[in-house]
Amino acid sequence: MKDKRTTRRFGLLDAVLIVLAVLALVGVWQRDNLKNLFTTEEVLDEYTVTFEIKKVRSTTGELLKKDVAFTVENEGERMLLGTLVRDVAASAATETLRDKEGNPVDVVYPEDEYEYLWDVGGELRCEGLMRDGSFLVGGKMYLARNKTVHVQTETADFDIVIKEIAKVG
Amino acid sequence: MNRNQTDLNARAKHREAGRTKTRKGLFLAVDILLLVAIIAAIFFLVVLLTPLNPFKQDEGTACTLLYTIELSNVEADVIDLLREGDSVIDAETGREIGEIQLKDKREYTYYSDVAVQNGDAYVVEKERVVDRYTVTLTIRADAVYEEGVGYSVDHCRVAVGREYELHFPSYAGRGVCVTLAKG
Repeated sequence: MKDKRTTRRFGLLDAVLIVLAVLALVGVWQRDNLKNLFTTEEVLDEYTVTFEIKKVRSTTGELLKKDVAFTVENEGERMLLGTLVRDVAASAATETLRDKEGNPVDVVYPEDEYEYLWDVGGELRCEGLMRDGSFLVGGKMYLARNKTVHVQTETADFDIVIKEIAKVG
Repeated sequence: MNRNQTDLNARAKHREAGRTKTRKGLFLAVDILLLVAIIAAIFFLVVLLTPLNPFKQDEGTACTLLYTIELSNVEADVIDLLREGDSVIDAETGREIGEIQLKDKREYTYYSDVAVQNGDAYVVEKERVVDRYTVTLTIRADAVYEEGVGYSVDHCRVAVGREYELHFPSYAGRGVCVTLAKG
């Protein structure tokens, strides 16, 4: 009498393994779509984020023109923060110092041949959402008034301070 | 009779050997598929859980970049240690980020914390430091430009406003990038 096990050519286990292998390959092929299964799909709205940069060199400020994209690093990935709605508004940098008598006075950083410090203000058009009363740009990164964010454009690196966040429309 | 029996036995053995070969071949194929599945699953997890992505190729176009770095508060007697043609190393990454094409210097000044009246307004006074200079280096480099990202030299980002700890052949110092342009 023949042993049943030795005569079986293709078993259930073999079929399961083949199915698993095919599923794994499909998983790699469709990895981007599968990633979405792990994130909650939420609708992003348009927001205007107003920011300020204090005492930035004019050589940096001059690069901040309309439609320039600001990116930030978030959890090891670079993501879009927003794009400039218009050219930034710049003025000579100011600060409060004390005069010779020790009285607080508002002072201006003067321009010279080589260096000119600006205070810059601008508006970014961002996509984000409100969750538990907090604004998350791109649905990921926490942003709030007074937060300092290190940002990059294609040609410049600098820090901005968030002044206001408002929903468009 | 004996001869016939021997033939039958030989045929049976031959058939059995054929079946064994088929079974071995089938198991080998399943084993390979299983291995492929394991490798694919590991690969998928790496892509999902880390920023590494082997499919992402280095994009960008090669270009020549000219950028200016300012070194502040440099002692007068070391300025000659910075020479045109010297290689420039980014100390943070250890990568060469170009060579000095042009060197310029001016007296080092800094903003004090003293308010000086100038007409109706107050301005911040600038102080000079004797025998100290601000050295401006124009650096030439073979760079890669990537849209939406910017310029990099040997994977080291170059951007206005960025600070660098720099190593030159005979001098080390900290500088800030103030301008950049395609060469």
